[in-house]
Amino acid sequence: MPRNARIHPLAAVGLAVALAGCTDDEPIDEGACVSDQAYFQEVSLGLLETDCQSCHNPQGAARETDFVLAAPGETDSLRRNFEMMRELAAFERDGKSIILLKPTASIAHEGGQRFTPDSPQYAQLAELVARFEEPRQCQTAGTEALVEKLTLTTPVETLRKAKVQLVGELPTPEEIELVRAEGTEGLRLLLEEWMTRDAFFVTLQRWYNDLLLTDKYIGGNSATDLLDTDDFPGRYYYNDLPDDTEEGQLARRYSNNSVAREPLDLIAHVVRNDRPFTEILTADYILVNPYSARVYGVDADFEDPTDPTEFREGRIEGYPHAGLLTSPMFLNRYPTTDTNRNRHRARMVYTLFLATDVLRKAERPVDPTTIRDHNPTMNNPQCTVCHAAIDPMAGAFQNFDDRGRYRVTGERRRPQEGWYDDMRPPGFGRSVVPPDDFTSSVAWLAEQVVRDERFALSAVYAVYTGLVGRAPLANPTDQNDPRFAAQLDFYNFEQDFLRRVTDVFVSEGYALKAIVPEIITSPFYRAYGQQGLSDHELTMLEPMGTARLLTPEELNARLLAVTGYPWKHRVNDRNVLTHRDEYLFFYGGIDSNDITRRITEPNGVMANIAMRMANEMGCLVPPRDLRLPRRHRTLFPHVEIAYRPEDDNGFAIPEAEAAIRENIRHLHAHLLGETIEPGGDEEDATFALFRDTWREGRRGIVAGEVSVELPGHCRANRDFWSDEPLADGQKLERDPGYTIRAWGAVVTYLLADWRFLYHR
Amino acid sequence: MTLDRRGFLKLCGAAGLATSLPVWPGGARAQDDLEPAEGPFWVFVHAGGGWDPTSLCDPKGRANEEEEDPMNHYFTGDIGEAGRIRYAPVGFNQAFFDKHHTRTLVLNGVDTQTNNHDAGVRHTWSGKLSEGHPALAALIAGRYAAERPMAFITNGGYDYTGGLVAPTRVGNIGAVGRIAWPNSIEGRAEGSQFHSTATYDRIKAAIDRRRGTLERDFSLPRHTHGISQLYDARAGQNTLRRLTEVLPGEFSRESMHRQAQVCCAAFRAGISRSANITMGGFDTHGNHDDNHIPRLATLLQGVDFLWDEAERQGIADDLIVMVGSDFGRTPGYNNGNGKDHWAVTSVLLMGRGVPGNRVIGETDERHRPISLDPKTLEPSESGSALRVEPKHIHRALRSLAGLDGDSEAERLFPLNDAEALPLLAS
Repeated sequence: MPRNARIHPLAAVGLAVALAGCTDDEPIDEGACVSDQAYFQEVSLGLLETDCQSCHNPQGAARETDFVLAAPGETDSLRRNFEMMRELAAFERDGKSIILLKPTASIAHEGGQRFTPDSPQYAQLAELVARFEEPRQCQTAGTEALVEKLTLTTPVETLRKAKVQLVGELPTPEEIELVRAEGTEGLRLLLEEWMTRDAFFVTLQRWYNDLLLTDKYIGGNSATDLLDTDDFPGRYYYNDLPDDTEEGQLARRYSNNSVAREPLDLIAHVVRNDRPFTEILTADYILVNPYSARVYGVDADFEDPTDPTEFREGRIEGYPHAGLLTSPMFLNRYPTTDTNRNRHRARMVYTLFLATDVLRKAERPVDPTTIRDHNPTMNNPQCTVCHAAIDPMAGAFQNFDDRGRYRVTGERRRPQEGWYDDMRPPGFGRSVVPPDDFTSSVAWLAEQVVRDERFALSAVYAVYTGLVGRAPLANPTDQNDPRFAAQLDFYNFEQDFLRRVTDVFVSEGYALKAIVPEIITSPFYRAYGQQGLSDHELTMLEPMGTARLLTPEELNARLLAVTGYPWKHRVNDRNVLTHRDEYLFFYGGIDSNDITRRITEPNGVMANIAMRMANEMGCLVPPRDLRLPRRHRTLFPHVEIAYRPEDDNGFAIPEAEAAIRENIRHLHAHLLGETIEPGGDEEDATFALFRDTWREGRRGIVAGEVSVELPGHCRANRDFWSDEPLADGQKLERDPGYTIRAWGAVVTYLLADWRFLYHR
Repeated sequence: MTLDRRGFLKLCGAAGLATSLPVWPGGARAQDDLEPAEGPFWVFVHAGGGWDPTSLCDPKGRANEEEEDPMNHYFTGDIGEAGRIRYAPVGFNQAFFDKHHTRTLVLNGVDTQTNNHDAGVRHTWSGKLSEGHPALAALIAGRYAAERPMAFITNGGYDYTGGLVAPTRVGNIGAVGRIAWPNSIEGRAEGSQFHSTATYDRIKAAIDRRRGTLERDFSLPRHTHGISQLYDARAGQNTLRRLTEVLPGEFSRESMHRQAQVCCAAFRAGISRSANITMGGFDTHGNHDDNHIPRLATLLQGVDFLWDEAERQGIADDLIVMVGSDFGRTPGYNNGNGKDHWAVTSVLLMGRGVPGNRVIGETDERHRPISLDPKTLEPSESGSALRVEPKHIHRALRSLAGLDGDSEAERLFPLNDAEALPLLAS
């Protein structure tokens, strides 16, 4: 049978898994091309997982053979199993692959005959062997063809999108010119510079806090309370300072929050100094500033002992530092108990730093009530499926107790000596902690973890999640799901890309900054439109692109970037978007404690908050901007307050209308990043909103029904940032021509726009 | 990955499945004229971390002081009864069951098939062990109230929606006025506005016109879905005002009570149909009696408060409550006097359509489930006997919610592997 004549059975019912046409010479039905990976997934689900895997798993009867399958659902299991099967298939006897001979018992197989040579299972494996011998390029070629059907942001559009997201600023004219001339290469140059700015590290830390959730301990004594007085006698040093002084209050706040943020500050420190990202786990120091140094009793010199942004690499005497793994904050955020025995910590290390949800291995039903084995976590396959991976790593945390205190010996240690006999020995994978590393086994573990290829993948996952706004798609396993084939195609598409980014990251010496431009210049970040996608492709590409509602923090940053102001009436008011007692939780934000997952789909409450933001900013910002000379204005550089669209007789004033329209185009570009056509529908619609609002207001003023005064809440009578009253000549409190309020309607309209509220 | 209704219908069309799908009610439309929602209203109370049914409604005591490896420290002879419901003689159990047994159905010996928290929570509240299936709360809200501004209120627990409805999280209630009246400077019906009413209507009309441009410019599924999300969410903006009229004057300091107050007010205002109420802290591996039993008491006091609040708001007759947890806890005590994870659990069902004063399912003396005859629900050793699993409970509840048979829920997220058990038969 010619290769291109193989038709996937699912193709017949319209659920083909192919991305696009194959590369073979003869034209074939677009929907029939099945990639080798997709075919392998089918074999996995239909045969390997249901039969072979019962013995051929890391804890199974065939665990000592060369054929050991990674558990379904485990990160990268599909690729790893695929590679292993391909290597095994090359071994032949009498011209036949052993993966056909073994299960038919044609040669010795301890599992006996699993099926006969005339069975469907055999045909499936034979097809797989044929594919291994003659790989198909369907996937790669299809991916390229697929991307051609997508509409991507231009380099200049990408520039704006990336700069606002990463550092909360709009691009400068010089940056736009550079990217216009140099394209994405120019963008890469700029990204390098932005990634040295403090604002980038704020963003990076937010991404990582969404994973680590250590900001739980911000505020009060939440972090210093976790430290033990015996270990850190200076943990409350600030209590000796007068509480009614600024020094005392700052010391309390900075001390607690510096301790709380230590894991995130370490991440920023490693990236800021262009160190290999592996150092976040292998650092043989604790990062301290003048305040946390006193808490920890670390000896360090600071240029400015009051500057909380000045960091040093300190060492706690007798403490086996291993980056954030030995941070008291990490250890307390993921605590343990006498019976949990650090397993929770191990699970989190797998999740955060090995891109592996180890519990996904146990997604299939288990029946603990039937377990009669002695020590089931060691002996029962229902338990060992997870415990074989988790328990050795849990043992590596042996010297840290339930409160994250380092205890090598003594009464508080669990167990008081050594490690539990009824658990696997401390280690990682098949390696065991060497006796010489017993007291510093977490540091040993850190070295093992960063050498694992999944560590690099986990860093790519974290940056990708931050930039794209969702985690990479998990390996689909539910074949009964009508979306299965499409999801599998996207999974392969995305994983292929993430692998390539990982290769770049590793080849650049684990430089985290190398990941960012790879993602930002890719279709995964830039795609927003499509043309000619088939139904299957549309379903497959449901996760494609970055469209999602901005988080409260992102919306706040965007407002500041484009209007120059946060959503506040006065500078010392609470920031209503990010304050816990205002809209933070309503708008889907998290507190890293009880609320740890963001809401990314707007509901009616969130829609109202967004509308209130647009209304209030539409009221507050135009007077603040219009009171300035035109050359200093952000939003209204093309008009004066006196510019009105019509004269008293209702006739258009062409010069004024032209300026108003020019300013409308400016507002669309400045607030939304949207270039609208002069005289086009969008300009007309926005102009009509301005003009009709102005007419309404003018009529009201003439009739004496509308005040010429701006609402008190919205008058510009103070300098926002200094909160000082403005001189009389600088105030803007009246609107006799009703143009300020008409512009306010326009600003509200644009700030309520989907383009503004969404990352897109 | 989420999938909106349109997206799903498109997919069904691609797969030849969408020839006779009924249209779900709701969707975006002008909202001033929305009728107050009718019940039933659903509350799902989650005891986060895995509770111990043997300290609650499936009591297993100890015979005497000398018993080795006892299931619990209370004595078997002290086990209490309220109607047909037996309960552990600890905490708030007696007060709770004395008051509520006539409206309560206890399901014991429920097999969650896991001792993994994530999987257990998912299984208990969606009826499926595997990922990707929405909470029953989301199915109900998506079916009956998708256009309402707080259709599905979540305070945590399992709130995956499958893209059927946007979940709502509640923050500082004091801010509700400002949210409900987005054009009012003070956040109330009267007083100064940011824009005149006519201008505000003009702005909203311009926003509505803009949708076509956006959908033309952004045609990837994730983008079009996002545009739909925002416009659909705006559809119920004005009805949020009703909430301000029925919110209590004072809110409790107890978390569960406060959650109950908001849910009941939202139900009464007709802007919500389902809610998750949660209380965490049940994953007590140590000092069980001191740590776990007081939490069970707080939980039951919270459920009791929920019913009182529902009475106060006049919706108690339309309320259905399900109380459950990730799974159960191991038989007996570990060496830290705690209990670990155990797949067998219990579920409490209460309210409209639920036959009260009834117990279904049994466990043996070590809290292992006893299989039941699928027709009589009596213990059985026949070949057809089965263990009650969350899928059976969800199948029954879907039927009670009108989501069974040819419903969209069944087509989108089928429970076709669940036998129909007469769990709610009177």
